[in-house]
Amino acid sequence: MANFALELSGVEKIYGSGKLATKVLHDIHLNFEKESFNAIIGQSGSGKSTLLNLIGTLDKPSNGSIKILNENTIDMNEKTLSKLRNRTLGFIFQHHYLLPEFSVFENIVMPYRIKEGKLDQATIDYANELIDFVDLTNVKNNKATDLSGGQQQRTAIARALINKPEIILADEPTGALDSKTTDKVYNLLRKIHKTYKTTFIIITHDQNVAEKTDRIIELKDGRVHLDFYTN
Amino acid sequence: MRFILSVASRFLFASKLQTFMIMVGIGVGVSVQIFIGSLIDGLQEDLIDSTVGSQPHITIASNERSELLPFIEDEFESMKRFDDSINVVSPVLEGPANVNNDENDPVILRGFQFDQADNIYNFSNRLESGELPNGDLEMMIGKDLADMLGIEVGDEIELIIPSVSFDPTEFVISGIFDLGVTSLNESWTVTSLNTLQGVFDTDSISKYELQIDEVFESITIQEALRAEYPYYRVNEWQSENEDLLSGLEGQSISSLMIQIFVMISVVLGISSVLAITVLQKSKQIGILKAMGITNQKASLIFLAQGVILGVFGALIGITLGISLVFIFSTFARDAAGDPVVSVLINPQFILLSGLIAVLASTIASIIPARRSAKLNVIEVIRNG
Repeated sequence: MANFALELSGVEKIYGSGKLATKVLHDIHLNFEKESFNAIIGQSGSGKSTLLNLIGTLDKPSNGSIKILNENTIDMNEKTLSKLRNRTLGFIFQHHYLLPEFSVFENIVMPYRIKEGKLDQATIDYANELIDFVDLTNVKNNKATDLSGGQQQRTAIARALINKPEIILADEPTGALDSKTTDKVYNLLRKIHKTYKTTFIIITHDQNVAEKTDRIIELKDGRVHLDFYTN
Repeated sequence: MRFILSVASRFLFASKLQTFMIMVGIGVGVSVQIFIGSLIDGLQEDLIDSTVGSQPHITIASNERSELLPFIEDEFESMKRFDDSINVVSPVLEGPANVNNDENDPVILRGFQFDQADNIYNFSNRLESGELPNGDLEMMIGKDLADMLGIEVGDEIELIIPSVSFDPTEFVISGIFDLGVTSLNESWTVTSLNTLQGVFDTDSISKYELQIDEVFESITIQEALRAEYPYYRVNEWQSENEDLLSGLEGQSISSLMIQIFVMISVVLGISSVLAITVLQKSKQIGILKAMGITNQKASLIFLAQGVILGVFGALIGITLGISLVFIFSTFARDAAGDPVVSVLINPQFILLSGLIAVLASTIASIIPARRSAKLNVIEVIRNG
C-alpha cells in the first residue's frame, strides 16, 4: 500500500449550474506522501484555495475522489467528516480565526474539547508544551484579541496541533504578516514538521516561503501547471 | 454537553449588556405574568368570597313553594354529617312582615339558630351596636332600617305579620347589624328560631341553609343531597349566580390572553436577538465547524443559549414578580388599611410561569439553532 497521506484523483469543481457554470478545477491528480512538506502556489483565481477547501473536506468536489489516509471522503456524511476534520486535519488560515471569547490556552485546546468534551492532564501538559514551542507562554491567559498578528497566528498553529493531526492545511498562513514575522512562522512550521512528523500542505503566494518547502505545486487556471521537488 | 454549555455561556458572557437586556426582557415578561396572574387569582378569590362567603351555598326547602318543613332533630344531625365538606347546616324560619308605621315598610322576618347561622352571616362581627337577640321577642335589624325608622338598641319595634294576625307584634331591639348590602340592611329583621316559631305557632322551619368548603363542589353535593332527600327541593348557588360566574370566566380568559401575548412577545424578542447573534457569531461557528464540531452540536450551542437565557430570565422574573406582588399588597391599601385586593401567591403558578419562560426561550432559539447548523464554513472563511 502506498504511503500517501492524501490521494486526489480526477478532482473537478464546478460552481453554479447551466450557462453560469464555472469550472474552477480541472481533473486534478495529486498524491501527497506522509510526512512531506508541500507548497501550493498560483495566482489568485487559480483555484488553490478551492483545492485546499476540498482537501480539508470543507467542500465537496463535483467529480473525482479524495482519499485521506486511505479513506475515501466522498461518501462520508457530515458527522463522519466533522470527526475526520477534528482528528486528522489541522487548519491554519490567513486570518487567524481565533475565538475572541476565549483565552489563548482555551483556543488552543478547543479542538480537543470538541473531541472529548473534558480536558485531561496529559492534554493540559501537551497544550503547555505547544505553548512553549510556539513561544506564547507569557500571553497564554490573554484573550485572543489581546495579541499581535504573529502571536495570533502562532496560537492558531498550536491549536491546529493539539489533536496531533496527520495533516496540516495552511491557507496563506503568513499572508497577513510582515516579512520578519513570516520567517519566524515559517521556521516554526518547519520545526513542527521535524518534531511531530506532520504532513504539511501550505498555500502561499510568497515565493520565498514556497522555495523553502520540499515540493512546489503550481496551479494555473484550475490545472496543475508545475509539480516539482526543490531538492 | 458541558463543552456546549461552556461555549454557549461564553458567547453570552462576551456581550454582557446584550445578554443582560434579553434576560431582563424575559424577566419583565415573566414578572408581568406572575403579577397579573396572582392579581386576577386574588381578585377572583376575593370576589367569590365576598359574593358567596356570606350566603348559603346550598338550600334545602320543601318541594312545595311556601310550605314549611318539619324540623326533625335526627334529620338535622344527619345532614351535618352527610358530607365532610359541609361546614354549616342552619335551619331558618322566615316570613314577610310590615313595620307598623305610616308607610307600612315591608320587611322579612328571619329566625336563626345563631350558633349555626353565625358561621354563614357572621352576625357577631357585623353588629354595629348591641348584641345578638337571645331573650324571647328580642330582635336585631339592619342599620339602614334603623336609620330609616330612627330606632336604637333598647327601643321597641312593632311589626304586623299578616300570616299570624293584623294586630302588631312587639319586639325589643337587641342589636343593629351591617351586612354590607343595603337591600339586606333595609329588609332583614332577625330573631332567634325559637322566638319566630313561637310567633308563627309552629315547630317547622322554612329551609336549611348550608355552607361547604369548596364552593365549586356545590353541584356535586347538591346532586348527592337530592338523591338522599328526594322529597325536598335542593338548590345551589352556582345556578343562581350565572352572571357572576360568566364574569369570572371572562376575567380568567382575558388574564390568560394577556399572559399568552406577553409570552409571544418574549418569544419573538428572544428569537430575533438570537437570530442576530447567529450572524454575530457566524465567524466563530465557522471556525468551530472547521475544527470539527458537528452541525448538531453547533445548533445545540444556540439552543443552550436559549435555555440559559430562559432560566436566568425566569429567575429574574420570579424575583421581580413576587416583589411586585408584595409591594402591591403592602402599599395598595384602602382607607381602612386593608389591601385593595388580597393578592394570591400560588407557588405552582409561579413555577409554571418560570417553566413556560424556559420553554419559550428554548423554542425561540430553534430557528437560530437551525440557521447555525446550515451555516457554510467556506463562506465564512472566504468572507474573512
